[in-house]
Amino acid sequence: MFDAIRLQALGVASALISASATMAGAQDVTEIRLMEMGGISGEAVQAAYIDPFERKTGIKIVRENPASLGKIKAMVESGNPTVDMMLLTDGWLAQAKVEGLLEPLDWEAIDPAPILPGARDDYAIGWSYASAVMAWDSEAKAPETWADFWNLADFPGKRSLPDDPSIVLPIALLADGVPKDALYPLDLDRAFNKLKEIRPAISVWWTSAGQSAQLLIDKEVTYGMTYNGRVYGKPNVNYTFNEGYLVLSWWGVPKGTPPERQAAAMKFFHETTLPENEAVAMQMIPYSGASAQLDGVIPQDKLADFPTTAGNAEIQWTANREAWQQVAAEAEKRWQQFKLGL
Amino acid sequence: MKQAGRWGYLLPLLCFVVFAFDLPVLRMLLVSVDNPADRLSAFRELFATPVYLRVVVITFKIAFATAVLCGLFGYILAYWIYTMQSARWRIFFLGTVGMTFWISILARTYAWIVILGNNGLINRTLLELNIVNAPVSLIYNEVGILIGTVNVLLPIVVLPLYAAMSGLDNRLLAAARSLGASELRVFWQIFFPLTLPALAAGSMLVFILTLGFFVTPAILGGNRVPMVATVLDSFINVISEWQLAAALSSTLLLITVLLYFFYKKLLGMSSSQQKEANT
Repeated sequence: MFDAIRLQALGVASALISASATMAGAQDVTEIRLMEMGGISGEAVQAAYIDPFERKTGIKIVRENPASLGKIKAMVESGNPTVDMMLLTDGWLAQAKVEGLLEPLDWEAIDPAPILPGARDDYAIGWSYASAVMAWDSEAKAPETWADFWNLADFPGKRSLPDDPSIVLPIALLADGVPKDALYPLDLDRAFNKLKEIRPAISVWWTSAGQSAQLLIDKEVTYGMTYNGRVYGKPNVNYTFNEGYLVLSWWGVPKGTPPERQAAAMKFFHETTLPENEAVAMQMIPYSGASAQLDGVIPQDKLADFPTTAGNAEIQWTANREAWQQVAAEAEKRWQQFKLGL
Repeated sequence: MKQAGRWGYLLPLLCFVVFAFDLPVLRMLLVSVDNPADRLSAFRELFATPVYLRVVVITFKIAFATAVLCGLFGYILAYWIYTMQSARWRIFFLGTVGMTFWISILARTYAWIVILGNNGLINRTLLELNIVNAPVSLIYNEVGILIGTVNVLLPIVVLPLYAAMSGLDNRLLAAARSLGASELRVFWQIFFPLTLPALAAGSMLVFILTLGFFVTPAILGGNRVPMVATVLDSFINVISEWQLAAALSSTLLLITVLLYFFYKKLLGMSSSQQKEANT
């Protein structure tokens, strides 16, 4: 009995000691947390950026996944963010900025190696370009444009597109002949009308990148949209960067992250701008880093495989998220109606 | 003293339910009216937009069909296992039913694609045998969702039904037979009514679980059939309209609770009728 009480007291005492130890160590960050997308992309982040960062700074990075806009919002609203750095899609970034969910970045502390101007934002740093491209069964007739994709007579077969109006509406406009630099502000009526033409041929409105590639690999659909990294090197799937959607992934810091942890995050962001690190990631998965000096670190014969190199960026379109934000709620509602056939 | 002791044992569980379940639900209800200028704005938008109500209707339709099919197949399966002579086989088949709980829903859902897809087992067989000349659409529509949900939720009906059947007092059946009732009559007049509450409870559970299903409709429905959970996901993770999401959830909760009371009433009526008939 007595022993049990003593044991309890000991337990309480040691808990107190360890608690005070963490308080004392607050100035000296030994571990920060990062939320990313998991899978091969998470492994690439680990090998290309986290490993060199840990070697240089001695600060450990713990990965969590998958990231989502809902998680950032819940975290910030609770007043106690449980991660220090978070992957943001460009759509989430626009929304997170509107709602004030992010800390501003200290670009002087990041001290980036030269990166593309589009990857610099007051609240986030762009680190990975991917392309949502038109892809098809290699035995089928090859389309070149979204107008071909819409042409069910000359390019017969089932199709799949993302369950995401912010991507589908612009490509419907491209298919309807709108030039890629005149997409915004989006003409919703025109886009939905064009979408009606293709609706009967759509088997799946996909929700995950893995699913989008699997549909093509399994020949569940003949034509589809998928991310270039997901079908790269797959023998029975071809794709083109032409009229693809060039999209940038960002890192951001949730609002309420303590300053010393923010400082550690800035050091990590610096690591993501170095071309030699980006080259490691690009060997694992064919998405481009945001460095402006990639040509020097990527083998010449591989340049055409990446979203931003060898002129690939110029033939794609990018989203204007500020303009999208204006119509997002309305478009989402009409999107649900459209899917229901209303 | 004895009373207090009982409360002491219950307290941790009670706290858990209150903190982990009741408070979050309450908070969700509060979020749905979290607009000081116009408390009901989210509900008004919900009801003014036919598409959202239509999504609720589709969800209830699929949940109802799933509950009926699970009840039907579950009853047949449980009865078949119940009538087996060998205890070893009974355990084996109950084990195969229960084992499905250990396999991830995601894996089971994707497995259906391999079987039902355009290039899947069924379509390939049909094409090889020249029964059809183009693949039949078995997934990416409501049929696909139904197959998936019924498959995932079937054990939830089978296990309690089996328990109810084997807990039945066999002397009642023997008595009926000794009075000259046919096997069919024994089943419909004695066996079935006595296992009906378990069937109804199991089906109700399936119905409620299907209302919130996310993975299966998203994958096997190809997202062409929006259900409440997928729409909630887009409210929360895409357009960041938590108030609207809370209002939609609250509406779903309200309808579910109403249906539950309706069901309790029906059940209460049928059991009181039974009692009257017995007396």
